[in-house]
Amino acid sequence: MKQVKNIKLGPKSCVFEEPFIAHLKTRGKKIVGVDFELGFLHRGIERLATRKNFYQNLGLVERICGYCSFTHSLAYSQAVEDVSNIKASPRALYIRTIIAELERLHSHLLWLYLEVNKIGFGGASSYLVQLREGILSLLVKITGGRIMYEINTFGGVLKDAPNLEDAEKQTQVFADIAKRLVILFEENKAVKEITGGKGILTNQKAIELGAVGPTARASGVKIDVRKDEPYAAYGDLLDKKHTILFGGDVYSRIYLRFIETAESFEIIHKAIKNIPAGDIKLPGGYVFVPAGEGMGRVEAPRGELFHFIKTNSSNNPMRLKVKPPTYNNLPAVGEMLIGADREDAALIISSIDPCFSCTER
Amino acid sequence: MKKYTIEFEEKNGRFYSNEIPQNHFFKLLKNIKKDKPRLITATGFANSGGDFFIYYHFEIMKQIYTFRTSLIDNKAMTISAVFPGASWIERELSELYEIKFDKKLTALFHLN
Repeated sequence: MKQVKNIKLGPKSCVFEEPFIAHLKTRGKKIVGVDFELGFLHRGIERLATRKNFYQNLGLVERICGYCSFTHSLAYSQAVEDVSNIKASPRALYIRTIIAELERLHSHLLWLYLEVNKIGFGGASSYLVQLREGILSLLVKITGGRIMYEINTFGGVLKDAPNLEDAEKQTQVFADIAKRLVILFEENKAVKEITGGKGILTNQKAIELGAVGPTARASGVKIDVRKDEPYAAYGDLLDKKHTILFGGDVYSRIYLRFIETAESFEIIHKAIKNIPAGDIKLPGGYVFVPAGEGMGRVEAPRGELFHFIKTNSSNNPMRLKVKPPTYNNLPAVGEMLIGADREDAALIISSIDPCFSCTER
Repeated sequence: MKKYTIEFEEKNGRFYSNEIPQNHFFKLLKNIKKDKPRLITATGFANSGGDFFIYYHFEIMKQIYTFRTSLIDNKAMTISAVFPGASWIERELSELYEIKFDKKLTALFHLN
């Protein structure tokens, strides 16, 4: 019987983008136990939010994470709108959808770039990073910011998107490149050999452990907030059919994100085509937030993002709870790692696209 | 609306329960489990009087249910036996709010 050895990955590692520690127990080459140690990025944002007023918190929650800053402010706005019983204007809902999808694209493309570099699929990585740069410049044109947009407000958005025809032309070019990248990925047999069958998460375990987002969808779980409880303009733009894969391995998780990238372009095209004219926010400006409870659910690039707010009719929230998607996906990583080779640990952990800035907030 | 023998208040398509003691919530958990719920998260909350509450947010048949449970002496029962993903949530609750999760109490309800 081989001896059990403890291996510590992190907190600073060249293969991970954020600091955390993975304690692996190995017997020979195989991983037999896993535990994660977090806490390097905790900023106490939930507590800080109770000391700021509702409008100041719009900026604060955007700073939880750089990949999904808009989705955080969107979920928070939806939670406050839920308490206040207000609805955003139709045009604002479409603008929110376009920016949320552009953000999903820049998050997915960056992750794909990092992931395919890890597996030596360099042919696609340079295209991916250039495509992402194009998306970011498009976001600058529409919102004025590359990563922090700060255009959400209660009942709408602060900035209109005037030149969407130009944006549509640009996204059509990007969409063609993205489609070609999917074919390039499908045809590459080496990638399938490296990633196929690794880090398997079965459908049953994904449901049991409460996995969300592309991690769950790559294991055949039909879960997507955009389709289950449509928010913004997704109700008009999407059907109820879920895009899922059944492999449950690293390959499926990469492949699904390639497919979702192509899908996001389609949603953006539809949104630009159907965007209604009108006001971008409610008349009157300041929104009075009454006492109560409300929640906002958004499909962030990594899965379901949930904001819960409790108010007491003062200027500050009594409690703001932020549940990021990686929080649900971390228990599933433990399941993926057990029985895997220790050399594949970094690849498997990064395959869920973990975001520890969100998780530790 | 009445479901699982308790009253829910509906607001914008989401259901919020009235305040229920934690042991009562645990008695309901077997019935809730039959509907194949997904635990979204649990929120800890302390009011100005020093009373602690845990809000359990579930997705049951594509609808969101929130159970507001009150704690006595900062002691709570762990639901990680029923929902393995809850262990992370409970760990955070005990670190931030010093809520003690008692496995012995949970065992009384034979949740496994």
